[in-house]
Amino acid sequence: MNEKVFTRDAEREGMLTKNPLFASGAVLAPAIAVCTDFFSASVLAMVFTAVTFTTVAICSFVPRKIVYTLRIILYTLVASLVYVPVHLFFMSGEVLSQMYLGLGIYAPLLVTNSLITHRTESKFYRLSRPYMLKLAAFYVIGYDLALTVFGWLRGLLTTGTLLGVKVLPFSLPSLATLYGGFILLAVVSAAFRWFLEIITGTY
Amino acid sequence: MAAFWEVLLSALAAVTLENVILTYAIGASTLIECAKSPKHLLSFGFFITEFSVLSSFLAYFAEAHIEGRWRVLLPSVYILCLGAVYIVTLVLMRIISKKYFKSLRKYVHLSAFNCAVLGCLFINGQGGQDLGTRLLFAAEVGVGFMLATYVLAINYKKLSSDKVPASFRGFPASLLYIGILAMIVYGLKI
Repeated sequence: MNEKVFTRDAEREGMLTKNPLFASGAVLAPAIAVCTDFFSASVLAMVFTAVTFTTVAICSFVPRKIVYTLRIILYTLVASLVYVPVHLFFMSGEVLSQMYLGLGIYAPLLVTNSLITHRTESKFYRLSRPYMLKLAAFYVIGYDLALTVFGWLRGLLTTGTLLGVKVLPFSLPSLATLYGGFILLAVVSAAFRWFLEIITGTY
Repeated sequence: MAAFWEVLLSALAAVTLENVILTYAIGASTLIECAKSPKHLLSFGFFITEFSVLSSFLAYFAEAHIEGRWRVLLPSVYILCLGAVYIVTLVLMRIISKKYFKSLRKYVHLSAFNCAVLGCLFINGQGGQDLGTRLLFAAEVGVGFMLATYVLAINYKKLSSDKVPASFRGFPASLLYIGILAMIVYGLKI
């Protein structure tokens, strides 16, 4: 297979067929609990990208000779150390820090997200490094896009407004709650599967 | 006997109302995965409880030495606490019985580094409660996780059956189900 086909496969897998949020149901907690509008979703996506992709890239150099138990501890420890500069960066700006603080414990919780603790061992580190990095990037982008769409939609339905302008004749404030998040994500995920079936024929 | 039932019901109420999945959504992904194969639910629940309680115990003493700007390192400290409990658990299991070690180590791996356990440490760390309260909450996290998994597992087959529309089958239907449970807990809490 040439590189173009590899890239297309990685793109399709990470962003569509195995989309971490809508198809695989990974890293659900922050999406359901704090991703209530476009801005919170964007900040969460940025933190997720910085922590996850950097950790996956660094940990790909951890020798496979080290026993699994220690490797997993190392992966999460690296993720927690990568989180430190990310945290300091987000805390440096006034507006950004307010949005970042809104994520609460869900930002540091990303150090144990399943892309780091499970997908690395079951998928990423079984592949060649260049392809693995490409695939990991598409998984991360897939999650980010899904999160942003979900946050935008949730904000729109919760308030009925778009950038402060009333665009819907109704609003559903309960969608901002935890149970609202579960229910809306279920509906959006089902819609995504339906869409996926139309474009690929499977889900 | 009446006192026993009262204590039991209070414990059940606490485990339900303080359930980290239904009140924080923490560990929701793991819950759905576990509900697919509920055969080892007890083992899994036991290890989650063990990791929550023992790492909360270690984290309580470790946190006392971290102040001011160094608190940004708390996630790393929590990971080290979890890592220590993880290694000790595996070593003890290996010493006690090789047979159990082989059959149960998978659940130890799955239980150690998941959001439910780490989330418990963060929630405990935010509250600043005494050790007893933290350990009690940690135990509630483990038992609550087991309860939530059981409640989802008993209906998982139905949620994944052919009677459910294809696009909702499995994961989306499970999310809907958990959402309804979370709504009940929300209603009970207010």
